[in-house]
Amino acid sequence: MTSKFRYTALTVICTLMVSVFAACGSGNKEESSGSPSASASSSPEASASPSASPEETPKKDITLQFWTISLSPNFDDYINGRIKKFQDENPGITVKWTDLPYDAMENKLLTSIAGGKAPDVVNLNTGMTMTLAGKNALVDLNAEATEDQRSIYFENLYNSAKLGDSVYAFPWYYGLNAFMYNKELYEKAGLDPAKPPTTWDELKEQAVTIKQKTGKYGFVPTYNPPADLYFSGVPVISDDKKKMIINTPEALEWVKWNKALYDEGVVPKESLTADANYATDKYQSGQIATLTTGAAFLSRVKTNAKKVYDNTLVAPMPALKTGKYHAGLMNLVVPEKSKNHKEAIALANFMTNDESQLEFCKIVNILPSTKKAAADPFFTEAGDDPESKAKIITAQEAAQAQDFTLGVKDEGKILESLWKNWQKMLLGKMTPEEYLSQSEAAAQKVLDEVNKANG
Amino acid sequence: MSDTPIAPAAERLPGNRKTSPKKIVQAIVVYPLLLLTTVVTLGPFLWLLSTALKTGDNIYAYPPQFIPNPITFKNFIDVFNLMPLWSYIGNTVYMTALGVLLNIFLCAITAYPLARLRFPFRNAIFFAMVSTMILPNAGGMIVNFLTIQSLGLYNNMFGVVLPSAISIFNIFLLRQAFITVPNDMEHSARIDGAGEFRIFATIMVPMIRPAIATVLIFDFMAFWNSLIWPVIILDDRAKYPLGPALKYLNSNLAFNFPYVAAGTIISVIPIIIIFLVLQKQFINGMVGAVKG
Amino acid sequence: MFSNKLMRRQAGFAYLMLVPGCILLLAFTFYPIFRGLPLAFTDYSVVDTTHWTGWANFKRAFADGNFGLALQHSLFYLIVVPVLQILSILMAILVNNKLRFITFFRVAYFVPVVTSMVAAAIAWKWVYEEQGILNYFLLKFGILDQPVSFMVETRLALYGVMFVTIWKGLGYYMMIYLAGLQSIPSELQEAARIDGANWWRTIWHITIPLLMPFVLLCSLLSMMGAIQVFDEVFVMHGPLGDPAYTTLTTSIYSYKVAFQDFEFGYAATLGLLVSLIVMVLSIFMFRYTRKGGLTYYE
Repeated sequence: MTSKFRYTALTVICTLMVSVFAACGSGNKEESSGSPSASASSSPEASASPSASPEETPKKDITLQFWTISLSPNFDDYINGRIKKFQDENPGITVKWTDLPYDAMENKLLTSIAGGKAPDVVNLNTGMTMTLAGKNALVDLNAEATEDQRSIYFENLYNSAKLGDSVYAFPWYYGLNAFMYNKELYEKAGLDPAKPPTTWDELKEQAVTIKQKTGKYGFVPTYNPPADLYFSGVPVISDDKKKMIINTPEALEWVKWNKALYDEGVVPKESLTADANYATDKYQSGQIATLTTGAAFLSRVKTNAKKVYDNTLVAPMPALKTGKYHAGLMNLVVPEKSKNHKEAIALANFMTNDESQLEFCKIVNILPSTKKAAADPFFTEAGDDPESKAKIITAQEAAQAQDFTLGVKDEGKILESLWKNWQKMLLGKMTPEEYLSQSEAAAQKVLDEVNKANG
Repeated sequence: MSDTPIAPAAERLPGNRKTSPKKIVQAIVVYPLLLLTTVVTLGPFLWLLSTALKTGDNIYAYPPQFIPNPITFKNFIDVFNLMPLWSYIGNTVYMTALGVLLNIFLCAITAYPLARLRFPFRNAIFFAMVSTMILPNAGGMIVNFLTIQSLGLYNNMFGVVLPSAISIFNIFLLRQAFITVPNDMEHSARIDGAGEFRIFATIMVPMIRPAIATVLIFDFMAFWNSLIWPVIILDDRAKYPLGPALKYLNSNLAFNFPYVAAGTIISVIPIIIIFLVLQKQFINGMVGAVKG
Repeated sequence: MFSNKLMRRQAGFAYLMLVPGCILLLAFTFYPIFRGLPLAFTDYSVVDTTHWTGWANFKRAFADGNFGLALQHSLFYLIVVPVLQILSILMAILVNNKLRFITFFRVAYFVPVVTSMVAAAIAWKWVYEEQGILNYFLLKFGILDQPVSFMVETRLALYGVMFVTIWKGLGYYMMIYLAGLQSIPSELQEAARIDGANWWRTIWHITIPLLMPFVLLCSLLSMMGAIQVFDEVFVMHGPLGDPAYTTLTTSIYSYKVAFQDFEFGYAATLGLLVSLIVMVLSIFMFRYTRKGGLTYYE
């Protein structure tokens, strides 16, 4: 009796296990019988456009995987609309859009490449683009894209993903910093709100006044030491890419200026690690008088703190010594392992063309990387609200905008010491002089290794 | 909240009734201690809750507003409008149920023989399992992805669940519980002629209910909160569980902290409910059984 | 004792029960470890071609200042282990009583465990900042005259993260110990009390020794969690261990090496080295807890 019961139970268990695996197995066959380039895409999906074209041209039926970072759900309509247009213009191509949460991109991208499921078009920032390009993982657009496709972008933005003679990304959107300030706090500090700072020294002076009169901080610097130095007139790397040039008088002046700013308590202690999120939070809570981030962050202030927003005035951001502004670019790249280079490049180009970018800029406060889109009257049309003012001001700055890259492999590793020692220097564990000399030596060492390894 | 203020176990203690002033002293010491700990453990959570219930201007007010005034549920409604949250919750429930059931079943049948049966290599098998907790697993994510892919489980909930469908930690916990079940119950069942499976299913498993409840709550939590792995395995956003879906509230171009807070509260509530349901099970759940 | 036939029947049944679990463990636990080990001797980057590099990664690791620093911080992080275990045992004993409102306290202690780390990090940053709530109270009660940022002060940052680890871990280990307390026959504790042992003696001489298997399990878990601490550091202090690398831990560093520099081979080497340390510590713990009851009661 009992043994019968036992064996029945065991049979049930075994059947269960087998069926689990069987279910898995059958799922496999279903999926892999489709096009091998993107096996998973044959499954019905809901995220892409509703007009997924039925397979009319089975011969040239290509599915492109298009990955972006954190654009959903706010920009669903925009992206889906553009994808639909692309599909209409290119019959036989289906685009499957996957928007990934910020933290998941690196993991998903690497596992997918390892599993042979490389996406066709991916949205990456310049740093990540350069690292992947250095590992030969991206398509060289100078070699595979057409002149027509390449010529729509501002040259210096297009070249920010340059490595040797190759360029590995189409530039997409970017933001520039505007100087946004709280009128009420300025008045409280006895400053004239009609006279925003035009230089960094004035910025500091005003911040000191604000601190003395109101007890609040004047501004939060968000540091990017390599780019800050570059835009302060430090060459950073020689033209032949053999020598690091960091320890210059201009560099020392900039570093000392920042050190003094931090030591004198003009800026919050957390500036050390502050990013735009921190700055925006403090600005909208009225704890800091100015917001020196990208104009896109203003919309956050608008939703979260209407009172502060209504009190906000906008002015151009004081430029660093070179008069240039740092443009943190978002790019679209095509992984080398994509099976449809031509179509993928076409999609990447389409998503970043004049029309696409202009439409994007109209829904969020960012700037286009293409010449024609930037020339659109939209960017000069005045409005009275802080957001449109910020748009006009950053669009004017755009002529002087540039991303910063070294243009050599393993850029992240070479520049690491500049980042690493920056905080040590501000915290007083290193003098500005030591900061520059030690960072330069460390960067030079890595650069030599990189140059040696690449012949 | 508790229905019986005086513990039955304490009641059985001789001399308990005499020392009731001692109990009062005990309460005077114990409750402040409990409350103090509560302030620390609950504080950040309460702040999230209060943020989620605040309106625009009050969220970033400084000095901070501790109790929201006015209270609004707008943030919760907005989050539900912003994304198909119910379908994400549905996915999460499916994933969690699948994962928890598989895990408890597999861990129980694996732990039982290791605890109560005699067979060759028993210790070797157990130590091999425990040792994997210590060994490095650098390639784990990529190798498991490749395995899942070759099983054809890419973009399938089974692919998400399977790698964590058994856990050494749970085996360890359940094994420990099985070991402590008194031998005489097993002996008497054997004398009655019960078979091995019957002993397992009808005597052993009910005896370790508290441990199973613990495993259940941990598993529920782990699956419910899983973030990265589902994104790696799932291709369609429509299939995502709650964890990754709520991450979209955290993006750079559209970051809204009250939404993040509301999303966190939404994702925490089910776990707290499960905990409330189960806590009676694993606390004092076995005292009676042992006596039996 | 049992007959031979019974023994054989039992063994057969045991193997049958072990099969499904073992298949899964082999596929998803043993196999990745087996496949991952050789990576430590390569320059595997996922995207590029892979070469054998012999011991080069190990040599690099021993000369790598960042790894040394990370290891130092990870080992220092171990001080959360005893704190966590002692506090959570006390909490479990406390919460195991049937006091009024005890359900509320159990939930209150469990809430940090289930709060997502991302949200918790935002909350804790808000506590730790220069203009944060902790400074607000410290200044108000006159404990400090100048605000201190627990986020960027290099001497405090790591302790700040440790506190979050403890905060989040307490409820978790409390639960395991609660499960452990259930497995202690209450007769034993009662007997001790009848013999005149006070509360403390009962705990120390009866409860704790019987809890030893759970102490071992929890200590092992929190030891590995401490050495490989990742989430709280990552969300609070980023992939570089801000400020000035003072919160850089081995897992944070490995993550950066693997996913930002794409040097999976080297990351595997670092993982292997860390697990050797974990192994040594584990053996230590097994010894110290007298194998933690891994031997059988029979």
